[in-house]
Amino acid sequence: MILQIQDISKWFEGTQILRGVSFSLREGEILSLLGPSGSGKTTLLRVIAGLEVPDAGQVLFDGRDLVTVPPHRRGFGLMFQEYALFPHKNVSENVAFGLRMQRLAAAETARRVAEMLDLVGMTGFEQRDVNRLSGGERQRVALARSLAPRPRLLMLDEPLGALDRALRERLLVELRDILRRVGQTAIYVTHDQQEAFALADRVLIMHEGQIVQAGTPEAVYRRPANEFVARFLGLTNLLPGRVVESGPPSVVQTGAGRMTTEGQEKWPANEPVLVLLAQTATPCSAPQMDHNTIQGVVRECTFRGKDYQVAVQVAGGETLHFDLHDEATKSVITGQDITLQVPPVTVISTLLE
Amino acid sequence: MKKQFVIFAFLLSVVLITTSCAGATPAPPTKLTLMTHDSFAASEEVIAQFEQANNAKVEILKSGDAGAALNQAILSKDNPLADLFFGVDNTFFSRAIKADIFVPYASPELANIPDALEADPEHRLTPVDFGDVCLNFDKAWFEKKGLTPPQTLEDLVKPDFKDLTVVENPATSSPGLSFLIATVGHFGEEGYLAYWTKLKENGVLVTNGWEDAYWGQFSAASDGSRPIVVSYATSPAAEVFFSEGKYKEPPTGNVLGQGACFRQIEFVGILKGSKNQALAKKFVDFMLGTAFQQDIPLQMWVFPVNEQASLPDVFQFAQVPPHPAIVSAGKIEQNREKWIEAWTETVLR
Amino acid sequence: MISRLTGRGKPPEWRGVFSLPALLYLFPLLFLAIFYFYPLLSIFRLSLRPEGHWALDSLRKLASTSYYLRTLWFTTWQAAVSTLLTLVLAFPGAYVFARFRFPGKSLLQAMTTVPFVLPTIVVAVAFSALLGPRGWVNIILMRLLALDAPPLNLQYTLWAIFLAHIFYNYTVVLRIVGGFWANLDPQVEEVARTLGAGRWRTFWHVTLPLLMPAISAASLLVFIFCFTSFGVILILGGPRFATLEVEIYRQAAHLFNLPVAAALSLAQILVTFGLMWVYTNLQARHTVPLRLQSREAAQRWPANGREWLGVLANVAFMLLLLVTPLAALVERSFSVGQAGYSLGSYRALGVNLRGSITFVPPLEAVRNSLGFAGVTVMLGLALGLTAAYLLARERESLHALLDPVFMLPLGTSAVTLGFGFIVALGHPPLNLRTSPLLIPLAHTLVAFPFVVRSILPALRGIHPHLREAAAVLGATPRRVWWEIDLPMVGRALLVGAVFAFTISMGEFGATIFIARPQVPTMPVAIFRLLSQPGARNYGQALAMSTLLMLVCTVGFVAIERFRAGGVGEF
Repeated sequence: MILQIQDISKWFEGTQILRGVSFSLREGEILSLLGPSGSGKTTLLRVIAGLEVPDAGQVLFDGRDLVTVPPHRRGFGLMFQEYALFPHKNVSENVAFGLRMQRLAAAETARRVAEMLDLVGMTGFEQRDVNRLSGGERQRVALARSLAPRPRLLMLDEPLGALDRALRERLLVELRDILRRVGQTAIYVTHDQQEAFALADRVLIMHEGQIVQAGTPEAVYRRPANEFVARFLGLTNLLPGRVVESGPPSVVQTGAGRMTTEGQEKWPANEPVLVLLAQTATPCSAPQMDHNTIQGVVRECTFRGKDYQVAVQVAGGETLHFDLHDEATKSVITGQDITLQVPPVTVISTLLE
Repeated sequence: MKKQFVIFAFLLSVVLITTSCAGATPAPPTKLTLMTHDSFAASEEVIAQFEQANNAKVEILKSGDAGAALNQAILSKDNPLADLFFGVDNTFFSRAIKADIFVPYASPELANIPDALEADPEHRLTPVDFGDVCLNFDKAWFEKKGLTPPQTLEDLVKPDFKDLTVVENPATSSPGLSFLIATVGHFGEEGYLAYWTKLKENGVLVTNGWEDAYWGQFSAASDGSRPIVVSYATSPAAEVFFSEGKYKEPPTGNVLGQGACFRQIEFVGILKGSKNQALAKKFVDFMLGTAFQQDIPLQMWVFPVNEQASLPDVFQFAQVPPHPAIVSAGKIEQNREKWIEAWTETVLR
Repeated sequence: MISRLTGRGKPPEWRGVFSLPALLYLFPLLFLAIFYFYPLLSIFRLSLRPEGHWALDSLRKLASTSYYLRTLWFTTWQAAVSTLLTLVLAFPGAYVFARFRFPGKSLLQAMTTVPFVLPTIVVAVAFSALLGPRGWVNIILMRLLALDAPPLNLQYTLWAIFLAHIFYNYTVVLRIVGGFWANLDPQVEEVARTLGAGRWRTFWHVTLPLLMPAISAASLLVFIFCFTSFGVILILGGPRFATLEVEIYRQAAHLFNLPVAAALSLAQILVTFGLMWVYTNLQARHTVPLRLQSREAAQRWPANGREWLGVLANVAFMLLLLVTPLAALVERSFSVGQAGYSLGSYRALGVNLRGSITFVPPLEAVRNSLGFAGVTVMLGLALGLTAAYLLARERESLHALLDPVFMLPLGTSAVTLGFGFIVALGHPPLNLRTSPLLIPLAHTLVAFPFVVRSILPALRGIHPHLREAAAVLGATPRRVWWEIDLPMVGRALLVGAVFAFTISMGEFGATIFIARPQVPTMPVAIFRLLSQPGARNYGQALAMSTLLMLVCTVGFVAIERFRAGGVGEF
């Protein structure tokens, strides 16, 4: 483990921004800090960079406590959300800045600058005024500037946040390629799960100054640790219920019907739980009161290109959303009843009674 | 080693030469500081005479206008800035005496000075020069209009002279105060305000300083439109002197009628606490001597007090008013503020 | 709350703003303590408690007459109106200077600053030549309209005061607001336009709030300048008008009524402090870090007829208001006292006609002036920069007090302070009462608030991310300062330098009350020439004024061109 964050806490004006955050990072790993704004991601990044001093906890890099090391001696890179390009320096001066701080020889600096600009596809922009660059160009220059001094750890704070969607998607791919190519150890802060999933080896989800779930993108998405994570990831088909068969597989009775759960976990009978339904479903003929069938009224049907999204209000009042294929929507009429077959559900958490 | 020796020898010789030279030079000159107002002037040559004769270095310390300079001298009386102070005039005379900042010195040169100019029987302040604040008029203007120039103070309130006069504010200007005192002297304390009321009705213009009256309003010297101004009796002579030979006769004239002028006398005194009393006394003698006295007219455009001093040619155009207004220094000191306030109420409000 | 309050060794905080060594902050504080507070307190003590008890008798009148209250009221409202007029008139000029390039721009900018250095009496002469009863404008109007009497009469009116205040202070708004505006990212305005805000609403809701730090800094300086106006009121306003400053001078220098003078000075200082207090609190609330631009990127040639028209209109206005009176002066310097035009007055400057000891060779006056100005610029920048850093640090409670304190020298009457120097600085090791050094020190006191106000908005406008980015890239705090702060406040630093230079070159009011040996500056020489009658003196005074304008213009252009270590590129 090259970086170990241990129990970091940070207060600001009487509010606790970070509540005992701990995690670690392997060399060459790309980690994503994912969370809504205000969850403490940026503060955590700034603590690691040395721009904020934690009130408690340790930052260990290569086993060494960094708390007393000022930012300029940490040898990290930090890419700001708005890039913070130096407006009084041109493109190559910006990229060369960190190298100059390392007192690298002029020739070596020039070579490295050229290499970096080539890496981000900005060759030919050396003498450009940074104030006259487009958003995407600025982002590339900022990346080149952060990478040039070969930081042992690169931190990126919402680097694509200010860009339009098409550009963001294209740059995301490029960014991943570049980071992978140089084998960069990196922490990527974002509130956008697509960015996090596309880029990171591992995702940490933060909420109110704490890490609420850690894991590979797939694991996190498949098995959200709690209702917050599920909802944050856009998984909103949640139903409360009670375990009726502890299994495995366990069976949960919800307001919309009886649901079989996936996996081999056993849940104690009679336990109140929250279950997550997948968004895929197939219409079937009603009434068929088997497991994993739900009945409800179609409230809305939206065309979304490759499929339709159907909002179904089930017994108990909740509205669930399902993606249905084109041919399956013949029977869908707004205001009419519908019966859907759903895959095994996931138990998110137990509920308090 | 050899190199170091050469350097050492060189340094040694430098030290020897400088010390031997220092031994040969005469004692350094004594510094004598003269505190004065901004209008003080003298010839380099004349000051150099004194410096050479007394092995002295005269430093001139200018400290604002006459009022500000005197006040600085009073404020620093416990730890004086200078050895002498020049430029107390008779409007500030009593204040200076009251502040008790001068030591008495009766110069032998006083023999050549008219008693009328001496004001302090204890000789704490010695007169050096005098000049009259007078009304000047623009000769060409009156010629062009076919008007007779004014002769007396009374003329100024006549309808012919409506909107023609510019005077200075006695609250901010030394000639302005002198002119106010002249009217007090001429019309008496009971009559001067009535005169000023009439003057105001006749369109008198008031400026805050001599510079703005002369260079801003006086038709003979500026773009202004007023042909009568409160200035000095020597101003016409100065106009000739500073005209690059353009004028053989002054372009301006003086109003010399009964009581129309006020005589300012300037005094010098040795400051209490001066460390160079003996030298300071010599400087007072020197200021009263003919060399300095003859230098005064062209430097400061006032008259020397020493009757032995001869006047430059151009001073033929500088008349000495035969009947200046007379008001004693004590009376001025007592009433200055009251007069200024009454004047301000009458003329400005 | 938790461990940070326990005894654990606290690591060094990265402040976001480079912290100078704490000792350096003592520098401006000590300077003010020695050369401002100490003399001031000394003279107050002497005035108000002459023999150890309060001199209340002479103060009784102060309370019993409404005259002083009326004076305070007049002082305040004339300053407010002057400030507003200056702001409104100079604002379009600031815009034009910030956003457009056009030929002759830097020369015009230098010219607009020239009025700042001219002695009031010379300005009065210039206005009189232009607007007086026999001035150009009246003569032209009389001919055009076939009038018998001059139609325009500004002499000794409020309008003369306003006009002169605008004339003097136009450059303050132009430089401070224009300088700040030039570094403001035009994209912000463009974004607002794309969001559907009209031209006017963009200005009102976006541009104006962003400019607020600079506008309020400039307004404050102009207001205090007009509030303490002395020469303009005395000479152009005439005897019917008196500000507190004029009244203090009258009381102190002519009536020697020190208790009243001290009480009025105190009132003036308190009002200044109160204003500054309000201002500081307002400004601290309004200042946000901005995305600043290099000015090159923000400036362009006017693109269409409408923009050209705007530029030309402003240039024409500046020429009319600022350059014409100067031109009238120059014209007079070649023609006064002689038939036709010649260099006679200039030649006469070098001739010591009467062998006078007070004769000032023109070159010596230029040299003295430049020498004092040089020292003032150095001292002013060093003090101003450290003070600005002190204020930019995040200790709200401290700078809420310090910021107004730094401005006090501007609001203090020159004659009071001059007397204070005499009383206070007369003992070793500070026996400076008659030292020529006192002149640049006095100039620095006046210039210092200008430097602070010029630098502070730029300093606060630097986005903290820029410094952080540099730090993370390996720059030490010192290096961050050198690479980021210095170049980015460089422009503002130049503005501060121009002000310091200008104030020193033109300063006359304060120096006249300091006892000074023979080191005449150009304004002193001008005044000396004007104090005697005779056309030759007048011509020479105008020639010297022209020389002063020339030296200053060259000085401004030189300062603008001076670029060391990247300073001024921005």
